[in-house]
Amino acid sequence: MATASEPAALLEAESLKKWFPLARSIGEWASRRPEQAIHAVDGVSLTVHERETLALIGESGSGKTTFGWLAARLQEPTGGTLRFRGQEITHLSGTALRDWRRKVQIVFQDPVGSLDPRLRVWQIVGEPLRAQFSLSKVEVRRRVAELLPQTGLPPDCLDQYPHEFSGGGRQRLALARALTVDPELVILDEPTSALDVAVQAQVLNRLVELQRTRGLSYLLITHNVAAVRYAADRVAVLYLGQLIELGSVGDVLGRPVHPYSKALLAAVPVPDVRRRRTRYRIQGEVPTLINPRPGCRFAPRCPFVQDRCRSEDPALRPVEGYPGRVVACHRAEEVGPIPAETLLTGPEPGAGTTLPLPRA
Amino acid sequence: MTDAPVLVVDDLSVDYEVAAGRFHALSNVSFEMLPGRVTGIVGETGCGKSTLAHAIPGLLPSPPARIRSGKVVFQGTDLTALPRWKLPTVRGTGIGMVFQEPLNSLNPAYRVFDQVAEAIRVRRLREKGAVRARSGGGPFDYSRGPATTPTSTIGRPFLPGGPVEERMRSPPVRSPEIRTEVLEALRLVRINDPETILRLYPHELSGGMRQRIMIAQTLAERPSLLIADEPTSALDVTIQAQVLTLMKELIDEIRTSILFISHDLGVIAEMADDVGVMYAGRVIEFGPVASVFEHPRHPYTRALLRAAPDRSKADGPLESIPGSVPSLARLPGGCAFHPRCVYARPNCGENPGPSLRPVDPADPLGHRSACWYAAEIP
Amino acid sequence: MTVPPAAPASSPPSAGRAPLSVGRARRVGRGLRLLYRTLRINPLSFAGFVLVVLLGATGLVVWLVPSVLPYPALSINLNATNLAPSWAHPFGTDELGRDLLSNVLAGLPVDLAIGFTIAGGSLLFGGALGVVAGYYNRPRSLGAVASMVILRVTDLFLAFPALILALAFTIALGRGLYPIVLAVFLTWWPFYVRLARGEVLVVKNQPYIAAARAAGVSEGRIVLRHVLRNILEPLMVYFTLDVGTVIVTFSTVAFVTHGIQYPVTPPVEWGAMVAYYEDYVTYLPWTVLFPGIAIFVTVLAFSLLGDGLRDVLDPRTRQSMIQVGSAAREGRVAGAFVAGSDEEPPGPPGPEASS
Repeated sequence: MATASEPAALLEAESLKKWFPLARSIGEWASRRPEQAIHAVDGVSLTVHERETLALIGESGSGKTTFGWLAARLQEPTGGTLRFRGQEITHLSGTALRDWRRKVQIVFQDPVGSLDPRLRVWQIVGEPLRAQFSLSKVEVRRRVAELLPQTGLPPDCLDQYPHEFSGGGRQRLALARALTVDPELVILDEPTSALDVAVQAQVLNRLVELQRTRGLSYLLITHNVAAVRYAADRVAVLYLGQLIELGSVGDVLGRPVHPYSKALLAAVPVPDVRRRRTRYRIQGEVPTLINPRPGCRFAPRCPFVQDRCRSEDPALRPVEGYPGRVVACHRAEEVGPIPAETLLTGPEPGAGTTLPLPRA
Repeated sequence: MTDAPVLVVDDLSVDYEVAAGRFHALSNVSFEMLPGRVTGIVGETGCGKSTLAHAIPGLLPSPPARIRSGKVVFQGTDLTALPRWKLPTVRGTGIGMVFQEPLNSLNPAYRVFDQVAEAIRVRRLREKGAVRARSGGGPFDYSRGPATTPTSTIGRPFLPGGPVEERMRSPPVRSPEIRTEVLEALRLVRINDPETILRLYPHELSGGMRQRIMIAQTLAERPSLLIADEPTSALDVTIQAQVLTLMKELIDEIRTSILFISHDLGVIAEMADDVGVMYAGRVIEFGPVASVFEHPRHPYTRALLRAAPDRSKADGPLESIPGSVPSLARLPGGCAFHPRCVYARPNCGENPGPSLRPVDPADPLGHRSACWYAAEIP
Repeated sequence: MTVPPAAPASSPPSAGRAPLSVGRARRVGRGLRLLYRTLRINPLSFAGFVLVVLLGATGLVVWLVPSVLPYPALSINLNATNLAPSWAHPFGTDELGRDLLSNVLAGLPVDLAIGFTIAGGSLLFGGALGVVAGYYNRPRSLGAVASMVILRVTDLFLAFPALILALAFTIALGRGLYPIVLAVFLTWWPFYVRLARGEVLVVKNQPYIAAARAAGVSEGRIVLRHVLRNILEPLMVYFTLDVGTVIVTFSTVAFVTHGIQYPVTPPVEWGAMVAYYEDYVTYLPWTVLFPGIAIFVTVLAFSLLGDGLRDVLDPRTRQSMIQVGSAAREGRVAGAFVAGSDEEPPGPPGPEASS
């Protein structure tokens, strides 16, 4: 979906930060040890354009869910700014915040937990309506009954409880709830990760169809590469609270530049028996997010690591030969052409293995 | 390999009887596992794959579970016919298990060392015959991996060996001997600094690390059959890839038979030699993984493989399976899949439904499908 | 997945009628039927339920129509003193010929009222404080200060053994029915603060609270609509179990302090009754025995009911226990629409059908 003219920006985040301070013990407090914090989101700048799906992809600890919560104004950022249609919304509160919530809705990761078990369908789905407009019960029920079929639910389940629905049904309820107030942007936090493949396909089809018919924008937060490939226009890869690569879906998933993007793509198991018995070459565990050390955060696991990577923070920058892409890697130009599949073969991995780079 | 199968599941049916009614969790499940092969079981939520994993070593809670019919023959012994109190002799050294959520499966009150040492101690006692074991001596072969105690002999079932004082003399858990073996077990699962890890508690480890410990603990008992129930589903993709790589390497080293259960077709494609596809409590297709994945002979397998998103929205909607998984309390008659099947014909709803039949009559133990029209599937 | 798969839902009750009507009366009727049917599954809680209903009804009748008592409460009959239980006096009489059955029955509404007043007052007062302490505790806010004060005061009260504290309050407040009620209430509410706060802390971190916030629901409404509604069940269960405990505690306090004792007449509260007849225990044992049994039965009834209520109040267990069970029995599930299944609504066949 490459458009010639610059598409209008809907939601803009500028070096958004969220640090969760850790409690200090009395001893630590007395010894004036500096306060420690989990850097869940550490300076992420992103823009969601009108009518597009921007996917945020990353593993647990990447800060993608926290970013979604910040973007939905459910948590207060530690730093940075958020703008919606050019207007700053970082510190909106009261009525202004409530009015803004009409335009941005969120669908949560856990379709079981995000639906109040004691409310009936019409109360759950109609909740944003009742919170935003003073409508009568009958009117709310009418609107909910109208909306349910659009998400693939029967209109006569208004008086049922969420536990009577299957996983896919609950996710549709959550989706219906987000759509009642006719938002412009829907933040989808892992919308399919609790679902089986077949149901996942149904929900993804629904999402894409709703986007087309209603002109919605999505911020799709997921760890599921296949879902991103299907539903997204652009993709942003997060690792440990930082944005490391951003570009169009075909580009990033087809020719990933950042070593972590490659590692992530290579790790996805594909139902293709010809690729079996491969060896994954990335080692090590995801390090802690507490007061991270300077340098690239992927350096401890990166097969292409150099000394510089451990001391200097890589900046997000365009890379020559990859139009429309920004990458945060010191060696983007050298590493870029190496296919992701390289990480699946080759010699036995060992501690500190460094892959040979092709001579330029 | 013409070895006798290490495990034969024959016509196994399991019901759950609860106040709300009776659920047919497994219906007439039959398959066999050859030694040294990885058998995958794949299916959606609620298809009965975890019930199967727990039914084989007799771990199903009863009630509510009840084995309605069938046999589970492990190394010549029918486990369903064994009295309950004898089942523990099979578990551990005979059949080992790795579960999905390692934080729940490891005892949070013990350090890593104690968890692994306990497994080793049990195995040693059984080897000495001090404790009865029902392990027929599976093809557990360390020869290509890090060497262990060369004297280890596996499984002398029901043979109390040697004089009593000799039998009971198992090394205490703190002995250097056991410690060495624990370190070896941890190195086997590629833990770089086992000395440090030994002293930690499960909650201090990351998910991937916990799963490695779980695998180390299970393998320390040297089971002839390892049942891995969604072993990587709780892990991140890159960590999952690491653990899968580890398991592949271990498969080459120890050559134990593995029953690998997963909902992820990709994981099964990478890990399994044979695969069984489950739907509504039945195995509806079984065969070598390449054959099943490349030429599925059951409409459900085919639909499942095609439902995985593999393209962009510009190429049109994804294929999905119409309808939903039937409730196990009221399965449709005949083939359980026929109400959702795009190839269904009138007789598909007739009882009895199809059972597994070879696709190629010349190869009765090869690719099998439970569909009347297996040959006609494109 | 070792547990049985989720129970299938029965056909939606609303399927036959217009989906837009709320149908409150029908719903209440259904609720009562459901309560009855759920309780029937567990015979013990059903027994508790029957007992509580029986006790409540008797208490109400005795209170409204005192003439139903065989003899007026506390009426002296010097021709029938010190009688052992007989058909004329099933519970016997005391040294002044007062009929024990009438006295015990007359005490029933009093003790029930005491139990409900103290437990109910504690539920409202302690529960409200607990909700405040649990919900409004964002660091460096006014709510956090309030929470801290509430919790520290609660701790102060909980630091003393409840019975000792109640006795101390009684001594300070003076004897009589109302001082003891107040004294027991004063020792009782802190339990509810703890309980309510604990429940709120669980509920407030549930994703549906965040979902409501994202929908633009105001904080006050979130508390009323989501938090209260979800902590109500454990609080109600605890409350039901508690009514019996309160009656025991009240009786104990009344017994130990001889609190509601009148110079000549025995009081119409069971604990005080036991205290009054304490001196006669060796030669008129029934005077102590029957008020004691009355306390025991009442406490038991509320405990059993409380356990049963736990299952009734949760729509999830209620669903799986009742609707599915009965639907399966009645065989009316075949072909019924499965609520919210992943089924697409019927429409033109998608491309997947044609391949």
